[in-house]
Amino acid sequence: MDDEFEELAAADAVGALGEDERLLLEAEAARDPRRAEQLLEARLAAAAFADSVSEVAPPPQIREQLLTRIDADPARPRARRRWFALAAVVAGLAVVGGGAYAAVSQLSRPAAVVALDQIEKAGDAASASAELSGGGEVTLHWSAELGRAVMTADELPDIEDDRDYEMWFVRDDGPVSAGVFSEEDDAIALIDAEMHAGDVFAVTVEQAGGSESGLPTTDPFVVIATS
Amino acid sequence: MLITMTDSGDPAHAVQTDDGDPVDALLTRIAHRDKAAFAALYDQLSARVFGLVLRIVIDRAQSEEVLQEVFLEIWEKADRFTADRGRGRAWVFMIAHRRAVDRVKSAQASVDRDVRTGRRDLEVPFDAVAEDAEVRVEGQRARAALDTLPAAQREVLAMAYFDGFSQSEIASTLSTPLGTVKTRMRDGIARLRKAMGVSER
Repeated sequence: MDDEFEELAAADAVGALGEDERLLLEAEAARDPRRAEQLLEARLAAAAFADSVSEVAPPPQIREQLLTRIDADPARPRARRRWFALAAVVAGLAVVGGGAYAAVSQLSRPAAVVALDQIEKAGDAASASAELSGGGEVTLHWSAELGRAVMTADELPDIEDDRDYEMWFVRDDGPVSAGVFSEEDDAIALIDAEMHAGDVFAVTVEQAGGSESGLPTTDPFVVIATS
Repeated sequence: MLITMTDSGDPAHAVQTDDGDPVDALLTRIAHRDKAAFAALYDQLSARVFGLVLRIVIDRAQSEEVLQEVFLEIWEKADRFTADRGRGRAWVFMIAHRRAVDRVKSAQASVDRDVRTGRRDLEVPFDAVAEDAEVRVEGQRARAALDTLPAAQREVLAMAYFDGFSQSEIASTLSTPLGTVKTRMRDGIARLRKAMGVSER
C-alpha cells in the first residue's frame, strides 16, 4: 500500500489522477497524518515544474483590475457564519420570548436549522469546511454524541433543473448516500445517514432525487475529512 | 513530445533561504486583508504564474482570465494557508496549476489536443521581464532539480503537469505500459522531493 499510495500521490501532484482516485487518496490522507505529509511533499516537489517555466509579464491593466476588484469587494460573509448567526438569533428569540414563542419558532424553523442549533450545543460539536475552486464553500457540522450532521453550503457549481446535489459518507467499504438537496446558494441540509467516526464527506451532482444505483455517478466536487 | 528545460542562470545565486520566506510572510498579511501585501505578491509572482498558465492554457486571452481567477482565489483563501518554510510559493502554484488545467479540461471538447500540442512546440512567446532576484533563485533551483531527473521520468511528469494528460493517455501516447508510467511518476517525484529539499517537518 505504501508503494501504491506513493504512486497515487505522485500522480496527484502533477494532476494526473481521476477524481475517483483523488477521492481515495484524500480519504487516506485524512485518516493518517503521515500520509497527509507524503501527499503535501509530493505536491511541493511538483512545484519545481511551475518554477521552471519562463516568466511572462501579464498586461499591466490586469494588476489594476485586480486591485480594484479587491477594493470594491469586501470579505463576503461565508455561508457558515450566516447560518450560525441565524441559528443563534432564533435561539435567542426563543429564550427572550418564552415558551410559546419557542414552540412556534421550532415549528417554523427548518429541521436542519434546529439540528444545527442542537449540534452547536452538544459537548462534542465539530465542523470542517472546504472551499470550492469556484469560490463557494461547504461546511459539515456534526456531533457524534447526537449522531447528527448538517451541511451548509454556498455558491455551489450550477446544476441543471433535472439534477440534485447528493451527499455521501465515504467509508472503507464504499460510499453511503447521505441525502439530496438542490439549493445552489445558502444551502443547508440535514444529513439523513448515521455518521461514523472517520467518515469522509463528499458531494456529487446526480439525477433529481439522487443516484438510482445508490452509488455516485459523477466526480465529487467537494471532499471533507471528519477525522 | 519534446520537453526542454533551459538553465540560463548563475549557480552562485542558487541558495535556498530557510527562514523568513517572503511569500509566506506576504500570504500571512493577505489573510488579514492587507491590500499592499496582495499588490506585492502580485508583483513578485504574477509573471511566473502567468508564464505557467500560458504554458498550460496557450490561449492568451483565456490565460489572462485564469491569471485573474488565480489571484482572486489567493485573496479569498489566504486565511487557509499556514506559513511554513517557504511553502507559500508552492501553494500559489498549486492554485494556478489547478485553475489552468480546469480551464483546459473545460474547453477540451472544442479544442483538439494535437493542435494544442502542436502549438506548444512553437514555444510560448517570452516577454522580457526583469526577473526578481528571489524568483530567479527559485527558478534556478527548480531547473537544477528537474535536471536531476532521468529524461523518461521528467517526460511523463511534464506531460501530466503541462498538458493535462492522464496516466493512461500518457501510456498510449508513449506506447508504454501503464504500470511503467505510474512507476516513473512515483520515482520522479521521489527524486524531485530530495532535490527540492522538501522534507518531513
